[in-house]
Amino acid sequence: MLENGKISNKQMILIFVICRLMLTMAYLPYVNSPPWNQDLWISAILSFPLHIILILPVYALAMRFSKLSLIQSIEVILGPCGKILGAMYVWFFLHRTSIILRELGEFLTAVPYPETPIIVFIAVTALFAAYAVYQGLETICTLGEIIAPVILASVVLVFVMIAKDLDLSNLQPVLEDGLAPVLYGAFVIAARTTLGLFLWILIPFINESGKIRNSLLIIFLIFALHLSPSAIVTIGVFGLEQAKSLDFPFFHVVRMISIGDFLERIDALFVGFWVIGMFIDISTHYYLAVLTGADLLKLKDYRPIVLAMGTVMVSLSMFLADSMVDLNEFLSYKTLTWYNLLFTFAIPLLLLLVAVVGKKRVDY
Amino acid sequence: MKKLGLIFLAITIMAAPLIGCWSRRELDTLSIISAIGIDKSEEDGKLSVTFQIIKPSALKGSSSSEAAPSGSTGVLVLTSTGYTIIDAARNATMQSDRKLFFPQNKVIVVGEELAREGINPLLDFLNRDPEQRRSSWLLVAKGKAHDIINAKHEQVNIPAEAIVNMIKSSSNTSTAVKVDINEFIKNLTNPGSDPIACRIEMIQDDKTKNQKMRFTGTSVFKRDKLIGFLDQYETRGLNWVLGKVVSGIILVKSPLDENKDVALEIIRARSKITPEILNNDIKTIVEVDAEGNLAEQLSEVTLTNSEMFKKLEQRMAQVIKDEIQLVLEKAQKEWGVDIFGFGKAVHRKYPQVWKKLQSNWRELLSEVNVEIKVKAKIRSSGLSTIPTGVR
Repeated sequence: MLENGKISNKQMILIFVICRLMLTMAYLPYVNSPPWNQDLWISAILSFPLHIILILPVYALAMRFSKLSLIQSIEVILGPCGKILGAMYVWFFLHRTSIILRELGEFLTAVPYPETPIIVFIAVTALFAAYAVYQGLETICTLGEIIAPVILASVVLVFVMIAKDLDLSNLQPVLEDGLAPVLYGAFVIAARTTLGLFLWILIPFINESGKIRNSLLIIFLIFALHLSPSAIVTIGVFGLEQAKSLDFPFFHVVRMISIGDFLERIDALFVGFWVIGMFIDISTHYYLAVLTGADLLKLKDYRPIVLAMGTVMVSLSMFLADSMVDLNEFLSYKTLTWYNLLFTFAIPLLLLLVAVVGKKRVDY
Repeated sequence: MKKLGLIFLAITIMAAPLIGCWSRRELDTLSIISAIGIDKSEEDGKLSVTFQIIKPSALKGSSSSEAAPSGSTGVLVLTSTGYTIIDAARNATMQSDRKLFFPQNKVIVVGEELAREGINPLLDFLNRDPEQRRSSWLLVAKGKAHDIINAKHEQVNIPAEAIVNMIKSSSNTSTAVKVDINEFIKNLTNPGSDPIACRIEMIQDDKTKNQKMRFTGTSVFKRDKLIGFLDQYETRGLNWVLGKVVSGIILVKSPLDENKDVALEIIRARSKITPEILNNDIKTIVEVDAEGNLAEQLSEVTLTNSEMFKKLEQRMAQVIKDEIQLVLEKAQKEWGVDIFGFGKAVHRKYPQVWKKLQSNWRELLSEVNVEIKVKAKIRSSGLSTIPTGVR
């Protein structure tokens, strides 16, 4: 076994939520995707059932091979050819970590530190994340357990503090273009979620596998209940047209907070929380990439490749795109939705079919 | 020993980033800006931007009584020109010994001439630059913005502070509008509304020749171009429709003594805009609910009975109606601008019809039939019932 640690269901919920939330917290990419109107908050709520549908194939696979890691179960299903598919998943996580590193750097250079070279943030964060990965799964999860409640509470606090500046008439009319674009929007939101793969990789290390289904429901519920108010405050404060033109809509909402004459300009605090949350996000993705990579190479320990992979991630994140504009093109709903679905839905569905038809299963 | 060495190394490494940041900026290397004024420059195509910069030494005694002697201000005023705002801001460092620092800026004044040509090009910088706050107040100067930024205020050392306080206390009369950059951009970009901004001008005292800043109503924009001004009463009419009246004084003639005035204080007000579309005929109902107190009367008659209160209420409603009528006449009929958000209301209630109306809403606006319904209520008569009578 590459990892000897075990994590509890509570830790799983918190880590998964943080990994799903952090990018959304600053970038809120859904303002510029379907439904393109003030019904975004409905899409956010409807993403809950769609999340469940989209995670089904991975969930079934993970449950069928609950003692095996992602790479091992692919090899059981496909035999030696599984290596190629396994390599694709290593790439997926490697690539994903680079994207998140780059987005962290882009945010920090765009807002608080315009004159600092972006490589400083990326390299330093990657270095610290490498240390966390060295310490293993339990360390990352414990860190998440400490910090996640603080971040979730701070987000709720933002909602409360901005409530008086909300103009809810910006959210009307409801369902202006009917239900179809709203559903499409919910689909885009759900398709961005890669948590199914997290589950597939981490399922051998989760303490009580019986509670996983409930934990997943809780995670998706928390996410829907977070995204929906985010959409409401962003569109409520700025109006739809303005929200679309902002680079970091939710961050701008935090900047607008002003209570009395004393409680204002708390955006620096927000950046602080966000960076800590992003660190957990990056560490988790980094860890998953390294673990899957070591598994693929049949190593006895994953630690020797931590720094090697980190170097690749840092350089990849620099070469990923020439600028933020470039990066956003890839991250827009037109590309990323289908790219993610290939890994989180299409491939697992095929594997599941092969496994069921070929009666592949592992006896413990 | 080895462990101790490691700990020492770790502490050294961790201490290294503490000594400073990459682009650290100390207080004494910054020019902290409290207000910006933007004008058209005499040179073709250039902007002339005036910065009001806080003098750090003036901050010490700004609120205490031993403040700087009257006439001196706590600010330095710089004017520089450039083709864009940021160009002008960077050019200003040629005169200032420090780099301009915007995040404390709370007031942005645009000159009338520039506003008439359209202020959308200016908004991009205010929207894009990370140092800018969208909660800065936006005002339009009658005349040059430079004069406003250059003006002194006798009570506070930093004139920008005075403007902010004036904006905040304007709810006592409701004859000015409170518009920040965010609000302005929101009204500019949303279909079915036109932006407004507070109007400020320099008033000269005839005796002392002193110039003072004063709010004189509202600047109205068609798209992003200044089209005209509303005076104070028209501004309150606008605020009635928008539901933004907080307080203020309404003067009516005394029902028993038609030559004397009675002052009614507004306690609270609400408004509701309801569009109705019946066979291509657009009608808008503006409902205003106002509550007031009897604040002062100049006549020597007893007004504190329910019959007189009824009459006062009728007169109060009539005044409110007239104020709304004034602003409708100007904005809706004359200029064809939707500063009331009637289009937004139609969008909300009739989303499908709005899709067809949207493109030529400004032309349709003057055809819209506006019905004003005012309900006025007088609650109390202050501390006395009958006025002091002179025998």
